[in-house]
Amino acid sequence: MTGLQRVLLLVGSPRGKRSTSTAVGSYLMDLMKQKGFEPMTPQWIGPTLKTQEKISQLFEAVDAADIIVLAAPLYDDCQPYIVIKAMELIAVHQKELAKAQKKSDGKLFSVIVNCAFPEEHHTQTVIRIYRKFVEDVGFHWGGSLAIRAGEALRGREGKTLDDAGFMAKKVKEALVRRADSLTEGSPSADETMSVIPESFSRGFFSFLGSFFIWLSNRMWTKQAKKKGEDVSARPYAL
Amino acid sequence: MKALVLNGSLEHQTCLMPIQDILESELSSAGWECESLLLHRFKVGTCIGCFKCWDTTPGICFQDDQGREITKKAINCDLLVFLTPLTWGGYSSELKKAIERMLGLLHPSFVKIKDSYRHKKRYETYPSVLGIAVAQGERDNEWDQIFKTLIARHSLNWHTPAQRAEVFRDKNEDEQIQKSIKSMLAELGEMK
Repeated sequence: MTGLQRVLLLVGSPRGKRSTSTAVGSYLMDLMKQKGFEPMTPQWIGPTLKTQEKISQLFEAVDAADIIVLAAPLYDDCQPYIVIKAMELIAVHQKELAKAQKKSDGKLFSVIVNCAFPEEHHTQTVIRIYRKFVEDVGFHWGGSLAIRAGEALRGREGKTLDDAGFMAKKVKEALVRRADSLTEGSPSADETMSVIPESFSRGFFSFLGSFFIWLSNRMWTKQAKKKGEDVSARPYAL
Repeated sequence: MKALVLNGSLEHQTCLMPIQDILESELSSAGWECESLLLHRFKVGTCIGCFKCWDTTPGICFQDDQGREITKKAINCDLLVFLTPLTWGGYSSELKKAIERMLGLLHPSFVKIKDSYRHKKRYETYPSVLGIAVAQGERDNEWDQIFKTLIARHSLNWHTPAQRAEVFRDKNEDEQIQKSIKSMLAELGEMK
């Protein structure tokens, strides 16, 4: 183990505690605690941005952390608004610290991206954005984990990874690898994995993937219908 | 032909205004009816990822604020311009806040197009997208590439008929910017 000790989880899901980002991030924090690291109080970015006092607390937490793990969903091919806002604020804060020569070196910044789509290319752009942010503010890149088809973990229903059963098996394994590399203080690799088997997206078993998509599409139609609505309504059509 | 310019300047940031002026002038010269919105002056709540715009009031966000008006304007224009300070290759927070409120413009169902899943169209047609970012100070060129990729990817998911993106430096001459915008507008017209 190196001198790195305190690890801060930033949750960038606008859904807050009932989110896959929370489920995945919390699991990683438990793993790091088992390895003797000290998880700090997690920061849910959405509520944090609401007052200046909480933003100051966010800065204090970022300043005090040795490792920062951001867990956030993919929205419109990039970070959610609340994450961009937090990044903008942290960047200004880091630059003020640098001016005052108070900036600490060696802070690792690692990212977990949760994406609803199963294909790899959806998450590549946002990882590049995060990398540029890390370079710009003077952190060190701590690697990334892109989780695809993350909806299957049902984090937005408040499920933990343990609740998700076999669906979470590969995610948990990836998080163990992430915890290992972060606790060794080594810049970990960028990894991407799908919650549903890759063969469901392409190849012989792709019909199973199509079946899951059909089920999901049917669920949206039924949910809207239950509320007396047409899922395909065009309210803004002129 | 209507164009809607979404200006994602942060409060107190003025670097995008000269480009907005050039853009408006070029659009007008090319016969477009143009409206520009300085987003930070609008009351737009944050998307909370509740998906009510998909299953409860399909196509409409539950938050009754100016986010709804912007969304309605966006789907009813022919060209949507994302004007933003270049933010590590991505959008500014102000622009992204407005974009997220447009989730209901897409259908919740997935559809496979060319080996990739995307959300289905809710509407018959979607506007073309022009992404313009302004980099302040010296920035490495990878930021520019990221922005262009982001606009291309975002446009695919949005089913836009045509897209173009460019990054300007705050030190670029007006004439150079004007020429580039004129050329992109012409290309977008041909691509449609």
